Amino acid sequence: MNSITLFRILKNGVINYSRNFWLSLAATSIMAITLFTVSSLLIIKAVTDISLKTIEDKVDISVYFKLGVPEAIIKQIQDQVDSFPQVKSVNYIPSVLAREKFKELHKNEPLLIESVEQFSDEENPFPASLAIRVASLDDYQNIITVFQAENLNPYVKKITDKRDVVDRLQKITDAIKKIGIVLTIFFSALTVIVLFNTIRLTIYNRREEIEIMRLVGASDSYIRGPFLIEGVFYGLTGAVLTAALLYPILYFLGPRLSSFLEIDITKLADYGLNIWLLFGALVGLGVVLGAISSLIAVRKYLKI
Amino acid sequence: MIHFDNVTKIYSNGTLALEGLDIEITPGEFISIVGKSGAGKSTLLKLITREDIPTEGAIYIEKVDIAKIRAKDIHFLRRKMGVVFQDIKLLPTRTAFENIAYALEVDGSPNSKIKKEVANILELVGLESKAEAFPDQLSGGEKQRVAIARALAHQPILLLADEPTGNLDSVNAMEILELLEKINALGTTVILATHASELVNKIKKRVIALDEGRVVSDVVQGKYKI
Ligand SMILES: Nc1ncnc2c1ncn2[C@@H]1O[C@H](COP(=O)(O)OP(=O)(O)OP(=O)(O)O)[C@@H](O)[C@H]1O
Ligand SMILES: [Mg+2]
Repeated sequence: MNSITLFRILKNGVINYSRNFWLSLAATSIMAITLFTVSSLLIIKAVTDISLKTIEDKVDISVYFKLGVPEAIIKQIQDQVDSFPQVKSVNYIPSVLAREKFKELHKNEPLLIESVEQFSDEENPFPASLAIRVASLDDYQNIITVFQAENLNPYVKKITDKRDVVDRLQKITDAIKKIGIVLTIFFSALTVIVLFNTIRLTIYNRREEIEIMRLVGASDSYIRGPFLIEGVFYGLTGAVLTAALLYPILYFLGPRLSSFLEIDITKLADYGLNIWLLFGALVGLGVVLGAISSLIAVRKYLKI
Repeated sequence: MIHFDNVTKIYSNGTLALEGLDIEITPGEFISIVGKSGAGKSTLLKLITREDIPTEGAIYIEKVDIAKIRAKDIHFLRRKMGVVFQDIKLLPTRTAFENIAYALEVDGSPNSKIKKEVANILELVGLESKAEAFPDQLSGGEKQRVAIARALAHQPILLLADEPTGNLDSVNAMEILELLEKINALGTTVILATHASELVNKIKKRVIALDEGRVVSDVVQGKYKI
């Protein structure tokens, strides 16, 4: 195929797109809706993942030590726990700090504050504690077991047992993740099928043109080329339209969503949802979907 | 050049359109195919363009059984012929100029040549002023003349014209007929399918008459008799 033929295929693609304006507009709109649906689902999935992660992060294990356990021993235990690979962070909360926290929490109840202030630092009834965060909820039980072992158990007064909460939370996260995947696949498939059929209809409308082209001596590829170009255009314009719709929404809604869900929306980037990357993915997906739909649809009418 | 070997065409709905045709067409001939409506004239032309294939028998063009040409190579056959279709078949989204140019663009002709040739042929059919008009902005006769221009533009060695004067007044029809005769004089084989008896009688060339799918007469200097 020489350059003049390539140029003509491109030109015919542009002519087809612009002179069948309403058909092209319909196909482009459906393309935009498809891309919008798919990207919204991906974003919703990422936001859900982040929120779940944020909730998981908030779940920590508090180990309270008996009064009189020397700070040095607690620090030693802290170092030991910190060296476990499953452990994300260990915070030492000395009894003085625990008392301050209590006072902060009940600052509107002067009677309580007064009673707490009666104690000197040495007599402070608030136990020192370690707040342990694990990387995954699955490791929660392991950490508890460590403190129940004989060598540490004598120092420990109490371990806050949030196993119930954790268990339920885990079930909910699993369910949300599964439903999310099913919904994403279902709606993506649905819109892709609608898109394919729309493109098929726009080409069905022009099956006579394809026959005429065949009868005046055009080769298969010379006919197919412009339709391929058209499909690519549907993808490009659909992606631009989607971005024009999606980015303002993200821009305005993003910060509000962040504060509402108490998540850091900038973390979306960690999930590959960088703005440019997303646009690239939209263009890529649109072009591939448009081109494949066009090629499959036009093939049927090239038989004459 | 074209050889019909016992050709029968039965459409998928059971209609017998052509039956046992044996026809030999030599290069440079001018042949009129006549017959009343439904006799099978268009079907015969459609078999030559490979728009359809015979149910029985075979058609040879320059010794090649055209039913055996692979789908992806048919365009080479079609570039050798020009066809004026009974239902005209212009591309609705292309102007008159672009419709004619399309038949030249398909084989990669350079733009300069296309511009010149299309302008020439538009002048020949008297449509210079309508070059930028779309088919739905043209009258029936003008559309027909665009179709004729498209069929001639790439200087085919075989011209098939199915009722090319159907939408034209008698003056225009005569002009088109003279055009076909001129093309034929330059060496192009012409096959004309028509009802128009006064045209056929004026040509004084070979006439094949069809009736219900069969050849009922084939005379070298014929008249329209049916
Ligand atoms: N695609 C088709 N499917 C079924 N039958 C067809 C088809 N095309 C034509 N026929 C039938 O085949 C017969 C011959 O049709 P054809 O079009 O060849 O006639 P014709 O001589 O060109 O007539 P006209 O002068 O009216 O154009 C007719 O009976 C017609 O109804
Ligand atoms: Mg006919």
